[in-house]
This record gives sequence, C-alpha cells and structure tokens, in this order.
Amino acid sequence: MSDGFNDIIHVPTRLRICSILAEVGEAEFGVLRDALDLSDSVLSKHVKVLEQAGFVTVRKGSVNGRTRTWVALNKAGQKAFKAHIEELRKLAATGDLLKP
Amino acid sequence: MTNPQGARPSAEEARQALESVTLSKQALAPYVRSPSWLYPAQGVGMGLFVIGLVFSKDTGWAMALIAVSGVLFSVLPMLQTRGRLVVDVYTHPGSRGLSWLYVAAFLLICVVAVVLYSTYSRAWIAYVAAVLVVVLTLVTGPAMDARLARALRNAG
Repeated sequence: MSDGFNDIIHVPTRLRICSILAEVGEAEFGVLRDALDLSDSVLSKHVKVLEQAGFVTVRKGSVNGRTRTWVALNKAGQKAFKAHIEELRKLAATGDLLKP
Repeated sequence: MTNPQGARPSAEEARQALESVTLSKQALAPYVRSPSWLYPAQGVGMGLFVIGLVFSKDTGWAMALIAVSGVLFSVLPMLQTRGRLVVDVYTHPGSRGLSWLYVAAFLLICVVAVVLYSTYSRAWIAYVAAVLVVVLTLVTGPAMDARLARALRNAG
C-alpha cells in the first residue's frame, strides 16, 4: 500500500510553508514570514529542515544592494507534499465514513 | 520521505491540517502582484514583435525589431526572479484559462495583421496591431494576476 504521509512535512509550520511554496515558483523569505506571521528565526529553522530533507531549494541574491533569500519547493518536495495532502484527504475521509 | 510506522493523525486532525493548508494559500493572495513595469515592458516587446513580423518581408529593420523583442523576452523572466514572489500566471490553474485567452488573442492579432498587410500593404495595419497588443497586455496582464489572487483567496 502506498503511503504518502510525511512526518517532516506534517509539522504544522512546515505544512503551511509547503502550502505556499506549492503555489508559486519561488517565494522571498520575507513573503513567507509575513504571510504566515512567523518570526525570522522560526521560519529559518523550518526552512532549514525542509532543505536538509531535500524538499526545498534556497537561493540567495542581491536586490538594490540588499541580500535576499528565495525559497522554492523542488520536484521532490512537490511530489512529497502532493502525496502528503492526498494522504490527509484519505484520513479526513475515513472520519466521514465512520459518522453515523 | 515516508514513515509508515509513524502515528497517523485522526480524521479530525487531518481535516484541521487541510484547513491550515487552505488558510496558508489564502494568506498568499495579497502578495500576488507582478512588478508594475512587467506588463508595460512585455506589451512594448510584443508590440515591437508584431511590427517586425508584419514588415519582415519588406524591410531589413523589421528583423532588428524582432531581435529586440527577443532580447526583451529573455531579460524579463530574469528580472522577475528578483521580485518577492515568482509566480507563473501562465501555468497556475487559477489564471491559466485567462492566460490561454491572452496568448490566443495575441496570435489572432498577429495573423490578422500579417494577412491584412499582405492584402492591402498599408503600414498603419502594423501599428494598429501593435497598439492592440500593448493594450491587450496592459489589460489582461493585471487581470491574470487578479484572477490568480482570487483563486488563492477562494482556495478551499
């Protein structure tokens, strides 16, 4: 039986980060921080975990002399996120089946 | 990385997790906005392309216009990657329908302009087509952004 549940992605903050990244090509660190209302350090920590898991790619660049960081969900990340969402849907549906 | 042995969330927890996914998508909506220079620059590039295409059999400088538009179309995506959010409105399901209409309208204008010019040989046909393409881009571009933002806001 295939199982798309992913412990790394399922952590609430990381699930929210992946939800945003799944919709865009790349998101600047500040956009993720503001949209998800997270602190720099918390976001940094979770992005690092996702990067170490091989799910996101981090790119640094300079805009008007200021260093910026962009984060993108790579192919492995997209696949894992999609599979995880499918698994969550299945789990949520089992609850509906059990209802009288 | 899957973990078949790990504890699974209950149906309620899974539902809450899916709800947080939806809320996160909705939170992204206010940030979906292309840089203000993007669609004017793209419109100018497409306008130059149309003029170059229509006059391509008559004049040498027409090919130069096509080359300039080619350079513009190569540079614009690179400049876009410096933006805060890099979204492809042409492939995202939320705006894909409108973007196909936009591309189809652009192609239609190109074909009609080329056919009309080859029939009547009036230079203004190329310039009118170019203006139409610029207007089309200035109207449809922001509309695609808005469509995408709306799709995210209504995600569920």
